[in-house]
Amino acid sequence: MPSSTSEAPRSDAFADEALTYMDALYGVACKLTRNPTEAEDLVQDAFVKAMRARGQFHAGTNLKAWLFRILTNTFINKYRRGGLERSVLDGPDADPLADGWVSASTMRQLRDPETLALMPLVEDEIRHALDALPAEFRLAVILSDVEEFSYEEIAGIMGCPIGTVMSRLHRGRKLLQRTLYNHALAMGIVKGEERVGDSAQEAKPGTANLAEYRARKRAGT
Amino acid sequence: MTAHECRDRARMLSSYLDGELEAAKLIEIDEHVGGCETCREQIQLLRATRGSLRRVVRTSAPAGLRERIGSAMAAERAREDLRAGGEGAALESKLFGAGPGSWRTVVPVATAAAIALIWGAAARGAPAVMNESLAGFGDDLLDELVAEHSQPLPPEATNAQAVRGLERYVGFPVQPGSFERAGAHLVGGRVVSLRSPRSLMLQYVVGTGDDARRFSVLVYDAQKTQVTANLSPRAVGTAEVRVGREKGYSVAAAQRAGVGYLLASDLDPDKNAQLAAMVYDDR
Repeated sequence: MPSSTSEAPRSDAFADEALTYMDALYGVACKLTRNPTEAEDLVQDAFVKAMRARGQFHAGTNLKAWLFRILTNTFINKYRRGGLERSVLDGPDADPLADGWVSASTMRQLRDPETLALMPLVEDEIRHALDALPAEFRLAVILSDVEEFSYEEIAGIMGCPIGTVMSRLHRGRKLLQRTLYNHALAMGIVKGEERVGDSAQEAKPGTANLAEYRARKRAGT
Repeated sequence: MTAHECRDRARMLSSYLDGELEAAKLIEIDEHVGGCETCREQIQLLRATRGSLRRVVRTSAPAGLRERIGSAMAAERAREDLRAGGEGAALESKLFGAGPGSWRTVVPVATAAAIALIWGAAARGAPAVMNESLAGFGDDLLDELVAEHSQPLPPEATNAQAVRGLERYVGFPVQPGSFERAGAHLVGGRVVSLRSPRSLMLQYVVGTGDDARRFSVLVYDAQKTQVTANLSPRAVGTAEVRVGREKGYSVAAAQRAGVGYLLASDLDPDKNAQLAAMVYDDR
């Protein structure tokens, strides 16, 4: 840190190490708050709290998980009292997704080499799908898929049992996949599941629609 | 393998992909995936989605944030050094009284309660609650309870029948009458949604006139949530409750039939414990 005043902070090993996780915390904070400015404040609050509570941190244990736990608690305390929680029961979770996963043939279309070329577009869609997830699911999925925490660590961060972590992950991923599928369906990248069944004939209409989709996308942007 | 059985396996596929399956299940899924195209495709799609998620979420913090946070942390440390000079009482008043020039105005913080929780734990010298991977939710419950008790929000339901009507939002039975047998008057209740297992906050008044004292009860699903905070067992008659102090309030925890009751009051600890023990009273 550039030090321009005589009161410049001394180097602090704890702060220095904690700050190596700042980008990771900021990325997750953006997804939690869905607002970059609030994310900055949230991350700063979390770091200041971490500094204040650093006596409780055991050197040698997982600092990253500990910081994420503080971030999560800060987020909950700051934003959750306003009733955001409602989304868990009233949001997409209440949607009967009993039949869950997208079928194999549809997935084949989603993964088709042509479709892979659409990845940047798919990522846009992932972004929206992620934002639409209830916060608990969103956080569980990000902590696992992006930050690569173990279930036990996620349970510690989110303050819930491991079984709950598993269920949030499973449901969160299912919801993401369903959203992607719906997107692909709407864009004509895949066919509706009702018509799926004969895998030999799937690729063609999928590819044709893909061309059409690209044309539309070009025209649109 | 039918599609139905594969769907049943879907949850395990998630764990499989995360490397979190126990050995026996791992072998089972390995074998199954070898012969099941549906599940193999599913895993590939999960992997593809994971890759996209990483690209979407991973980002660099904006320029200047590191400096800002570094300064805030250094300022926090400087304040601690100052306090170490023997200003314990001043610290208390800053934390709970927040006079002008409080650090709260210097560094934006979430809520006083959240800070106080961390401070509370630090001050007790409790064995590193934050490091216990599974500890926490219960402490949040206690935090929530004390915050609600000290600054109660208006109740959603203001009589026993209406409070029982909130059962459907929390998913466990609520018996607001238990405490009335101890002479308490129900003020009302409301749903508290700190995290996904919702709980119910009940407010009571016991005593009359100048002797009237408020107490708050957080009713929660004890099968989903446990209070992990440092509370000591105390016998009340034949019942056992757990008691403690939190930010100057008496707190007590009792549990019956899968439902947890966490009480906070400005009553003395004995009276508070007696109230908590009322949940075991069958009259």
